[in-house]
Order: sequence, then structure tokens, then C-alpha cells
Amino acid sequence: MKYLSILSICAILFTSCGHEEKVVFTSEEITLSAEGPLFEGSNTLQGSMLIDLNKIKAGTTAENVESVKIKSVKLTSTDSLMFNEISNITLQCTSNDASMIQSAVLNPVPEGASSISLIPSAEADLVELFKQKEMLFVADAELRADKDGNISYKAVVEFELTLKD
Amino acid sequence: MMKRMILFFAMALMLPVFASAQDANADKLVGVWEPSHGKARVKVEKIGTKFYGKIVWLKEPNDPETGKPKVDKNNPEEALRNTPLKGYRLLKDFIYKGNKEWSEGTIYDPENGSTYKCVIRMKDDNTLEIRGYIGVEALGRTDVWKRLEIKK
Repeated sequence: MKYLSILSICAILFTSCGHEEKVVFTSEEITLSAEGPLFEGSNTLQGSMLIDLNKIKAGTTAENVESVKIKSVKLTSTDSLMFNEISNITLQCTSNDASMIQSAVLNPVPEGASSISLIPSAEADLVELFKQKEMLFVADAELRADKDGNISYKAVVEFELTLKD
Repeated sequence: MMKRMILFFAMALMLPVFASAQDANADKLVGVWEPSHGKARVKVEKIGTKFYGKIVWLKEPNDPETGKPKVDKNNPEEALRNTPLKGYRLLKDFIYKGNKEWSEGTIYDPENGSTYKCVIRMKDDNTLEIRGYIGVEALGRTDVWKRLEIKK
């Protein structure tokens, strides 16, 4: 009788857990930009990404998304100055209806690089952001010197979604 | 009946005026502010519909132990402990609630790596009361921040 009860509890737990699946989603190129004139010190670059869960996996709705982790963040410079003009960069993700989450950082930025990979947060969970229609990317870049022109980088972000039936 | 209708339409016409006055008050938070300890300056900006504040100046920018620019060494997550403190977003997700009050945001204390709920109240155009708390607002601590460029 005792074993039967334990078996029943296990069966309930097993069925209530449902099926989980991990899906890797790579964003299209996101433009992060700040309009000049810009000043020495921390400057804010912004970009956005529309979220369509159905495109990530057909039939997925917000209720199916259990967690979202960042796997990688790669930035590419769009001009000849490359990343020489910034000394470090921190990336946050946010939206109007969800909290801002610090997502990745690179400090220092290597001089002469035309593309850089940020170190992603292992703990940041972007699940609430993926339940919105649009996600904002806010990058704080430390400029080495004043600059009259704009700054623009292309970002490609790889996410790992845990989906539940 | 006629009087009531006139009053109704007059009020309806005034609504956009009230709304824009509210918006103008909301944006008064934007600027550079100095906490009472004077060790940092925080720039508040609006992103989307919410307000965020980041450190733009440090009295002691370098860590005396390493001689290098200070980083967020107390961050609970190891991968983010190399985040520079200059540029760090201390204030996050503040929403204007009217009556010169911004709430539903958080404040981060780099001295101990803790994040607190926070409400901001503007006492006058150049003075903020920043109240950080855990759980209920009554159990918190208030700091007074001054605007760096005094508005006349």
C-alpha cells in the first residue's frame, strides 16, 4: 500500500511536469546606435527586436516559454574605426512592460577588433521579455573621447529557450 | 441638463492639457543627480516609457586595491563582476505615477551587491528623495539627491 502511494505520487509528478524542449534562436542583425555628438564617458546605444514566438517554433505561445537564457552576443563594427573608440560595453535587455535585465558585458574591449563577443550572464532569464511583442537592447559603451558623429554596431544574439507543452 | 453638457465638454477639452502637464512633470526626473554621499553622479534618462539612471562620474574612479577602474565586484553573479561601475545602471524601470512620484523601480547598491525596491519623490525641481526598501516602504532608508545643473 505504501509503495502504491509513492508510485501514484511519482506518476502525478511525472505527468504534471510535461515535456520540455530546448530551442536555440539566433536573432537577425540588430542595429545598436547612438546619435552624436557623443561625449567621453558612458553613452547609450539602443536597438530593438520584434518577437514572434511562432516564428521561433510553430505553435509556440507565451505560456509555453519556461525560460530564456543568452548563449552569445556578437557585435560587429560598421565603420573603419572598429571598436577602438570604446573601452568597455555592457548590454541590457528591456521592454515597456518588463524589467531591464543586465545581459552581457565586455571589459576591456580589445583594441583593433572588428567584431567582439560579450560575456553573457549565465543567470539572466529573459522569459518575461520574450512574452512581449518587442524587446529593447540598451548598450552602455564607454567612449574614450568626444565624437561628433554617430556610433552604430550590428548585434547578433543567440538565445536558448526552454519550451514546455 | 445643458449646463451639465457644457461642463462635460469643457472637462473633455481640458484632459489633453492635464495629460501633457503630467508628461512634463514626468520628464523632470531626467538630468544628472548627486547622492548625499557625493561619491558619484547619476544620469537619469528615459528609455521607452520608463526611467533609468546610470553612474556617469565617480569621485574615486579607481579601486585602491587594484589601481584600475572600479568594477561591480560585489555583483551576485560572477560573470558580471567585471562590469565597470562608471556607466552602471543603478536605477531601473521607474514609472511616473503622477504627483511628482516615480515608482515600481529598483535601486542597486554596488557596495553590497543588493537590489532594493525604490520610490522616487521630487521635493522641488532640484531635490529628490530616493527611498530604498525591502518588502514594505515603511521599512526603508531615504537619501536626498541634488540636481547637478541647477535649473532656474
